[in-house]
Amino acid sequence: MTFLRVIGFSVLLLLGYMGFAHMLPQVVPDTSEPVEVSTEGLDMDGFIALGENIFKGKGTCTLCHNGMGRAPDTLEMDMAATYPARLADPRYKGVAAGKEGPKAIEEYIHESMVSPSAYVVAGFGKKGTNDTESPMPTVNMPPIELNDVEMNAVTAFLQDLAGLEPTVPLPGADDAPVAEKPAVGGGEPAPLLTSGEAIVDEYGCASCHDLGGSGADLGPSLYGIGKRMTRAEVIESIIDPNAVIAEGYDADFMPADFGESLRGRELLVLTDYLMSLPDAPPAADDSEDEPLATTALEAIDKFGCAGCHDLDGSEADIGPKLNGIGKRMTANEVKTAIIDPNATIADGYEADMMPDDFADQMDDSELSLIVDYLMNLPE
Amino acid sequence: MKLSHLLALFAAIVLLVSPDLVFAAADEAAAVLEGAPKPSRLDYPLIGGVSGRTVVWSAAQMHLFLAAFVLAVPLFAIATEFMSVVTGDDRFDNMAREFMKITMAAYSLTALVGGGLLLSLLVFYPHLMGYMVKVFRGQMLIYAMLFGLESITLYVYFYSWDALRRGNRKWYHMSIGLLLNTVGLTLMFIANAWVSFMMSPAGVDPTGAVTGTVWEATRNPLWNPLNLHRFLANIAYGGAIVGGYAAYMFLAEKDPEKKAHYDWMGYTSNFIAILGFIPLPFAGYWLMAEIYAYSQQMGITAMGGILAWLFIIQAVLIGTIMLAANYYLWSGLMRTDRGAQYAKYVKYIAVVIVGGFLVWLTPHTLILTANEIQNLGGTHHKILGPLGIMPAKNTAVNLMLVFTFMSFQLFYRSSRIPTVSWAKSGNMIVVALYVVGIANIVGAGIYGYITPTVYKVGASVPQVVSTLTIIIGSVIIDVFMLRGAKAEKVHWGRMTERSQYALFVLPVAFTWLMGLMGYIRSSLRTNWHVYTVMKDNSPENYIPTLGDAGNVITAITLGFMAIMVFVFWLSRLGQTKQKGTEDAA
Repeated sequence: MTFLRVIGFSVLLLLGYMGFAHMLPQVVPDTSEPVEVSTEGLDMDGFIALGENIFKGKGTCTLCHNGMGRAPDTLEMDMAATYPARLADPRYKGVAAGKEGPKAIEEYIHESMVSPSAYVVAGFGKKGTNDTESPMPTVNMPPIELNDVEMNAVTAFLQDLAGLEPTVPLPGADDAPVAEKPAVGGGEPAPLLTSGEAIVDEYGCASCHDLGGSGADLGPSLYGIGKRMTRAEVIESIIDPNAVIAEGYDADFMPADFGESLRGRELLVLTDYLMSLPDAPPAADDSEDEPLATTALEAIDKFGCAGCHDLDGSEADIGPKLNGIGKRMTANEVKTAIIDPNATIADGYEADMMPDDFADQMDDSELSLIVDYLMNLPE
Repeated sequence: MKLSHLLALFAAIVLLVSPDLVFAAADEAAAVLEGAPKPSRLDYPLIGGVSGRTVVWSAAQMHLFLAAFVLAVPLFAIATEFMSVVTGDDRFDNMAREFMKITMAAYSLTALVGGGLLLSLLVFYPHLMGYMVKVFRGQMLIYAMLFGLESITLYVYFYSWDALRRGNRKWYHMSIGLLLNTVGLTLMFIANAWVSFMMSPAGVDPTGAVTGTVWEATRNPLWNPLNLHRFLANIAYGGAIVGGYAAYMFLAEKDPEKKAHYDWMGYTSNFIAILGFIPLPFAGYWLMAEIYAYSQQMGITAMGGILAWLFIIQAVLIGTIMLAANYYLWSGLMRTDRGAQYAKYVKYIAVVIVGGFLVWLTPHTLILTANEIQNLGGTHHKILGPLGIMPAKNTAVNLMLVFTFMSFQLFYRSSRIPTVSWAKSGNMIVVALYVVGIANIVGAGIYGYITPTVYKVGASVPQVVSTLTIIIGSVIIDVFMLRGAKAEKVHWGRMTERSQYALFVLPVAFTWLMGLMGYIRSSLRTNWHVYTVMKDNSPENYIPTLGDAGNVITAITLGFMAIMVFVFWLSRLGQTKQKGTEDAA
């Protein structure tokens, strides 16, 4: 009996520890294999965007260059004033010492990556070295291993951050591809998306833009964008959508965080896909209609409901949240709200935001599936 | 065995373990400028869907549990044996022998699991093993030879116990014990060289080509911090396991005399466990400081990155250990008639220990999702956030250690009444030591808040010094003040059953904690077999989630518990005689 009590007590204690490990947030690793992306044809804006991705991702720069005091907070500091001061610092004896101008700053940034101890910012040296030795790893060596193109991209990003015109060369056909791999710092990375369609689907672009026959008009149509904008402008409009607002559309409407949520390769793939879109949607062909949805989830996916509504964690807030709608509305009201969305507008939302042609687009069976599903959604 | 034979054997061992022979033989000839292997994903054997990493992980951790136990117990067995010689009290000698009896049964299992680990490494990670052999060359053979020597000395030490028990022979016996421990520690240091090399490689160039001697690869930047950390942890761990054994025997025995013996054994084991445990945070601190010095990126990955949540679990485990050890000590006050007068202090100590535990538990730098940041109102909690930084945690852990020592001191004082004329002054000095030391710990903690990061680290040094000054100063004063003290009877065996469960908490929590620390240490290399030198391109080169790791650690701990139950059963079996055979003889 004593034996069983002791074993039972010990096992319970063990299970308690195990349960606690499960209660804490789980940092899910990215198990995808590294892929390589060609940067050929990338313009400077795209290159800067790539540099930012590397700075925050593969380069693991933000692991130390943040507000925690382990390294200068490059993203927050006034680097436009800082760079010239460093070049003029008598302690600095590196390749750009005594020089001026953007090219000298490029040399300084590059040197700080490949030879971090060439100049150590006061107070950030290794303990006991009197700021003569930097704790920063050499970024073109393991474990970070940035190649020349990646270092140039980071340099371009940092120059741009300081308000300077980047002086680094754009990658050419013979340059090494950029490696995309799981960031060491962790996080909860989603699987890498490798096709334009998958990225458009994942980020719900067609919910607001006319794309893939969605007919949405909350944002400009993306058809023919390759003729209206340069590649750099497309990249800019994705990562900084308020920089230029198309005529007839409002600012602050498109999410401004795609620069952070899209990975470097995804940004490039998406841009290529958008640039390759035809001038107009393909002509309607009954034989190629999307198949009839047979489940509620298929129907919701088909009509992109979660692109605007917070539905099962999508967190979109262009339209009202749909979880728990069954407690707020009757089935008939929900049905009316779908086929005639302007009939009643929920508090805090505007009219004419939701497409009003679902009655034409949806089969009755699809409409029923969606209504039934929504009515049973928990809070 | 003659003394001259023993001395010759000892000299041979010393020669064998000298660095020139063990670490540097024939290095120059063996230097080959060929980089580390670069196996692709397909080069890792896939055997029937078995997770190679889990197999190796389980075997390595199980081997470590057993090895830590069988290396630690002889250390405090010889210390206890020495106590028996100094005090002339046979109880120490009997207990030391009992310690070793448990070790004997565990030893062969350690070797068995070690063999399993080697096999699993060869099967699942052949390229890594090939590279490690290339780096460490003959040292691996010497390791095997030392293992043989360890076996011989262990068996001789245990089986010669009664033959070499009295007079000068006792010193021969202790010399064998010393040899056993020397070989055991050398084995541990060599194994530590291999694992620390994988974290902070030395003696190789950036491609992994062997350019230095075996000795250079051995004394890599993290070797000594790891040696010290494991040495202390092994002592604490061994004490905790034996304490669990004593607690079980205490509960199982009906004979009051035997119950008293196992109560005493449990107290001594707990003392040993805490003795090893008190300096452990400082050793861990040194190890982490060296990790930061070697690679800031590796350090931040541990403390502020993907592994940061692990240290919250670590805090829970250490908090459990502290609370259990203190609870056991407070329960021990009932063993003496004067214990009740000290019991009134227990509630204050409990408040400090629980408060320190809660501060240590407070997270600070964690990877948060955007939603979590929004809900929190920033990257850190506005009220509790300041408790999560190092000055608060260092203050908490130092106070917990000081008050744990105070629990020990209360029990010790409860059985002795000083008779020296300066007892009152002595007590005042002890009180002053505590007051000044605690004020210094708290003051340095507050200073940590108002100073830059670099000096925050420096502020922890006076805290450690204060803690050690309180402990060492109090021990020295007590030794002199309680010399010739009037001894109060200690009623060994006068303990509640509930208090014994505190002794079970220690081995269970220690084992899980060691498993967790193994997971952290290994994860620090991220997707490298040998950090920056040899990449891990296997399909399982990622850091598993905390929940997955918790499952594996729990499974290994359960396996280890089952093995220890078997070991304890074996050691009891040796004492059991068939009914009637004694009479017949």
